[in-house]
Amino acid sequence: MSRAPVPAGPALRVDLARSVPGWAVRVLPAAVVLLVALASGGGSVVWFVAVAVAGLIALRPGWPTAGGVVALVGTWVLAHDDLLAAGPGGALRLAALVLGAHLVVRLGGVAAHAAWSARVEVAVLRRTLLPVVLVQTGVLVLLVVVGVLRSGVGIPGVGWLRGVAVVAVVTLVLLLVPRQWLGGGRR
Amino acid sequence: MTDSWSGSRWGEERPPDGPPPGPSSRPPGGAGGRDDLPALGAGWLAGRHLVWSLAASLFVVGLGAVAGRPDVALVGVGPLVAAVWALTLRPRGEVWVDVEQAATASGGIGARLLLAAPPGTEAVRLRVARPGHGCVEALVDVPLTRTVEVVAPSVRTGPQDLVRVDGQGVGAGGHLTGPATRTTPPPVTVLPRPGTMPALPLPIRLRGLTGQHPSRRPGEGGDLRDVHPFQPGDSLRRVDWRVTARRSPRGEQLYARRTFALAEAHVTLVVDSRDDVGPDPGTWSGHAPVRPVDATSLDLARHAAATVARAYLAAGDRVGVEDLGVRLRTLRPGGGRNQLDRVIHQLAVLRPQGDPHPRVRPPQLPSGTLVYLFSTFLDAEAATLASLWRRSGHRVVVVDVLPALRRGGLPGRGRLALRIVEMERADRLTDLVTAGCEVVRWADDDAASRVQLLARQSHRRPGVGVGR
Repeated sequence: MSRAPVPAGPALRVDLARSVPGWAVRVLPAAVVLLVALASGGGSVVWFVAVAVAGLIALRPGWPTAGGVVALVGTWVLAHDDLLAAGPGGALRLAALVLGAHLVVRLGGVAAHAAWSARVEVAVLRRTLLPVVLVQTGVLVLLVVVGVLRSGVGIPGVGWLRGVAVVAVVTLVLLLVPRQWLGGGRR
Repeated sequence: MTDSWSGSRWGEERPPDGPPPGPSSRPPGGAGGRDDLPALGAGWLAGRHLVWSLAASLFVVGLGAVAGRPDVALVGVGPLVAAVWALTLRPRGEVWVDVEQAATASGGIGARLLLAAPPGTEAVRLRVARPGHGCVEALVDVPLTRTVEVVAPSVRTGPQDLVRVDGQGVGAGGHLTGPATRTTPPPVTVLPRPGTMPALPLPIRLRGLTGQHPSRRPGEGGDLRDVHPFQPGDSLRRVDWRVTARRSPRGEQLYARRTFALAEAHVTLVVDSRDDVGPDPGTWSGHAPVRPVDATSLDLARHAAATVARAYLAAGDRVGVEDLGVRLRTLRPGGGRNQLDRVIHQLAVLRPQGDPHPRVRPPQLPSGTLVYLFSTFLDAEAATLASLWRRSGHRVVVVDVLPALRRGGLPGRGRLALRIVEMERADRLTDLVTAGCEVVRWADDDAASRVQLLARQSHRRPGVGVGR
């Protein structure tokens, strides 16, 4: 006859400030991924990928899946018509995609440190999301500036701008990425 | 946990002798001398999330630039700026965690976590663990310094470990992780909380010339004993002039009032610390831990002894402690508030130690001592000693501190073994009653009324209070 399991002892009580359960923090970026898919208005393939990515983010937050969402969203935008040329609706959709991708990256980083049973203080989430607000404000301003510029300059004038942008990106890569990463050595 | 604590240095322990590296010794924010500062970002590692988000952002921005699609590039701008922000504003220094005992809450053990984090730390990842309670994880906000209270629900008393805390700093959206720190659980001694006793059984003989118990010996302070012809040595203030006028109208003989003396009781608390068993017999082998919400026999013994000690010391009596397990742990009888503190501390540090040799002779006790013996009586030694004390003229109150047992879940052989143990124990307790000892089972609800009954019996007992 096997022994009945002895009930576990009571859990430790940690007096935290206002907090949310860890599972909610892990589910949150996954939910944002689904919202991004909704904003994209994509078909079944988009939803399939979104559900798969959302599941990975929730179940394996340690994996850098959230970073890949940026690449996926960028690829999706590239594969479709220019959203900035589609009027206010397209710009709004682009803003939603930009914000969603950034939120997924940010929340995915926090979710990587939250176990299912953990507690996460609201102040931590507030402190994490505050830079998103600041950065996204700048990005939205940039979006408006780009829209205004394009309406003024016109498509033919974009050629030299493209060259400048490519040079700028290469310079950015060389400046920002640490030498160790490029050399393949230790981080 | 799904992932490891990146950048952790779990193997590092604080030197046991040296003080913890607190904010006073090394400010976490790097406010000390320039040479003492760690290098910028030392110890804070960029996680895979940061690497991948930076790479993906650059890819998308580059893709947009090459394709001449600013809408594509805008998707990567936000995460790119955030990643650069995280890389350039790495916190400097490490998170410091320390644990100290807080005021013990009712029904639990309190601990206070002292946290200090360098500027730029977005959160501190905490893991608080304690044997029997599991572990709790939390991401807490630490604006440079913070205090977090932890309560471990427990009814256990005596020496035990507080809590073990692992801490790790998390920076910039969880993309940076600092070095992990681990505290060694500080040992604490949880004192038993004495209860109240409705009445006090008294020893067969009271001792001393002071106290609050009336004795049969003539002296000062007690009730009227008799009126006696005046003798040399009697105080003139004790002359009863009414009786003198009535019995000796001519004044040839004076009569003085004599009173009973007050006396004190000597009480010795004998605690059998060789056993510390819980209510679940499956844990008696020591392979399974006792749940922290289950009081063990030694917890009951500490509580019972502290209750008895407080009651007698409040009545002005003298109380000492004997340990049946370790012979060096003896507290000489004494009185007063300080003695109560000494008794409670002595009870708190009692715990089973090694395999003590059986006692051939019982501990020597002062004559006329009231003996309280706290034991589980799972073996015969304590019962034998109680019988010897009773035979030598002490009044012995036996307090059975075995918790109410949980028999459910025991296998068949275990139940049979428990039944044999219980029969032997019952025989021992019956023998003790036969030998003249008084038995109280402390785990029962009517323990207080049982003690009250013993107190009433002690006042009816012939010869009680007769001083020698």
